[in-house]
Amino acid sequence: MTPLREWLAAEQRVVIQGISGRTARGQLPVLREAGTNIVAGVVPERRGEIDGIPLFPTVADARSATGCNASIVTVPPEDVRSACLEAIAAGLRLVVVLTEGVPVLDAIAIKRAARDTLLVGANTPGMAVQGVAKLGFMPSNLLQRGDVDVAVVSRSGTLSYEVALELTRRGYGISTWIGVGGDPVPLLDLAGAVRIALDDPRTRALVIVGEVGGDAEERLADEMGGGVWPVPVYALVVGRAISPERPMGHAGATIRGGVGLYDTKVARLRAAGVRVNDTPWELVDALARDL
Amino acid sequence: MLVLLEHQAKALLAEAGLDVPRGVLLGRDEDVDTVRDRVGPPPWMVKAQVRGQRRAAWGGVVRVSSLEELARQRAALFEQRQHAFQHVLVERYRPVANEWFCGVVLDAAMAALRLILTAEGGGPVDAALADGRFASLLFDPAAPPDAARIAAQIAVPDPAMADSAAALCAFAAARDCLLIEANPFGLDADGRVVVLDAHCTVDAAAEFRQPWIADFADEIARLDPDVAWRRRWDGDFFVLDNRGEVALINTGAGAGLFLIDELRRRSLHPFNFSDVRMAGIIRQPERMDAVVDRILASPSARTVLVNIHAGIGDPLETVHLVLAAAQRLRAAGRTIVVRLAGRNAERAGAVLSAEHFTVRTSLREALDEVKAVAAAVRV
Repeated sequence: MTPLREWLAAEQRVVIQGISGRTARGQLPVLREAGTNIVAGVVPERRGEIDGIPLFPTVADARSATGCNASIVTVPPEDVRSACLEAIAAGLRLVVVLTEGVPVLDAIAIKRAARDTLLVGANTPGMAVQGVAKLGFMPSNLLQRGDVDVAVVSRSGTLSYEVALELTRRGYGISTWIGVGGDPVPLLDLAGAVRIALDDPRTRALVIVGEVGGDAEERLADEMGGGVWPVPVYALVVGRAISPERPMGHAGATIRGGVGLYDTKVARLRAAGVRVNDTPWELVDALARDL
Repeated sequence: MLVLLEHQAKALLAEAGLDVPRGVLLGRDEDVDTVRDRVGPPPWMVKAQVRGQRRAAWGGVVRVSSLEELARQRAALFEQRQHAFQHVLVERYRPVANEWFCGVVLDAAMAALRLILTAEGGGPVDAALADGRFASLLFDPAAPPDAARIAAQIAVPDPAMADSAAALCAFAAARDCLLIEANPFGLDADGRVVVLDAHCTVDAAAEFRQPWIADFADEIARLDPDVAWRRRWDGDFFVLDNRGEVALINTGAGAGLFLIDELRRRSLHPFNFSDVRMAGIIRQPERMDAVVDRILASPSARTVLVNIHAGIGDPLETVHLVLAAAQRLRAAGRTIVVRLAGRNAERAGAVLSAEHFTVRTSLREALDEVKAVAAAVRV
């Protein structure tokens, strides 16, 4: 499959499902500035336009009229399942779900229906390929090109901001930034996001921002490990002090049955050749030493 | 996610068609005289309605043989200080010949639900699960297995378990349960399958289509101020340690975890975890007052770190709320360190600096400042 950067640069035609929401509308100029080619909006039972963007009642209508092939989903949680299934049925290649509070069984239904659609989210700032497109709400001031560009893949939005801020302060740029989200069943798992980030030819190093709960980091270590990475890989894992069985913030950050413990994650990542650090600034120190 | 109380989980299991012992909830001072009529003759099991595991280990489950003993044991349970609860569940004692385990749990990695069965239920179940002595079946929540499929696809330890297992699978899928367990359950003296204990975690995000979750959550909120907070304000504010010295007013769940890690790494004791969500505070400014109220309720939390990294927001939009909160905290003798990042952070910081608050744009510097301030406060 064509690397995402190349595909987005050549072919992106983005529809925003839920474009009439306050946040989505407010972010339209920012998304465009970041290169996102917004060709349509979907609002059920609405036609017309918002800020010059034509509105359609369904994704299928938008697809046939504009050729849209990627979507940003910002509809309320109760509508995410139908919105995503609609986007998948319409044959969109990429769907990024920003909405927080999507029921787990809905995420499962969406994931199981995905076929050839790449899904990202939910409960995430989204994803961005620097210089080409921003499909989400991460801060644009942290999405800059540098002499050395680093990919960021994160389970936490705010913590990825801290890492990106630290990278920016030290003169590094961002190549691809993917928030997989803090839900128990992310539509794109950490390993899948890492593969996309490594596919970006601008990626010279990779930063993984993980947290306790689930086994995403462990599975990533199993799938991508062996110590052979195409670029240096760094990780920050948070939540070492969390008590088992008590979720804090992200529903996915829940330790169950001894799975998802901090020490296990760190040990498995290190065994897979990942340099694990405690803070964003220590991580960037390590990266600076290596590069 | 919402972890239910036992009697709530059993109410769900009963709805699923499983047999649970007849029981009644009693508060601390409720009359016990009607128990015999409502539950049947003794012996009875008296069970503290607390969330979490290992209740039996601290004596939260007691068997009694008379009304007098029931009243005495109930009083003893309420007098212990370790575990807070509002009710005991008094159930008819129904011994089973064997103790089985049946659970349906979320398998996040496989994006599915997983049925787990073992004949080693009750206390030994942890060892049985850890050692792989169980049968398991992965299923799509959209197509839960019936008893025949379960019996055909996995080695069911006892044929009598299959119907109960199928009922649990269907129920979990229909009711957005991310975990539902009957443990132990087994055959009683009459040969009927009965569930003696139950656990359930429901997906609170599904409340819009599972309205019954609201009643359960409201009952739990009366016991758990953290759950009450989430229901009232959205966002999170969890007290970690009532004697904690550093309170957090923070945005972002991952950043909240990180701050706790970093405070502990600096040998400080965090009072709370928080993700107060600035967008929500803009919509509900009184949420910030509620945060301050909870901090001021603790005499130990004498240093407060406010950390706001506005992604697409603007700290200028909320700086008046941060300032008002900081002034209330300072008036109560608390020391405040504010860290702001994002668009217009410096302008927002200037508003706070003008009122002589310590403001940093670097999170590392803010944490170091908190360390210094907390050390000074200790002295």
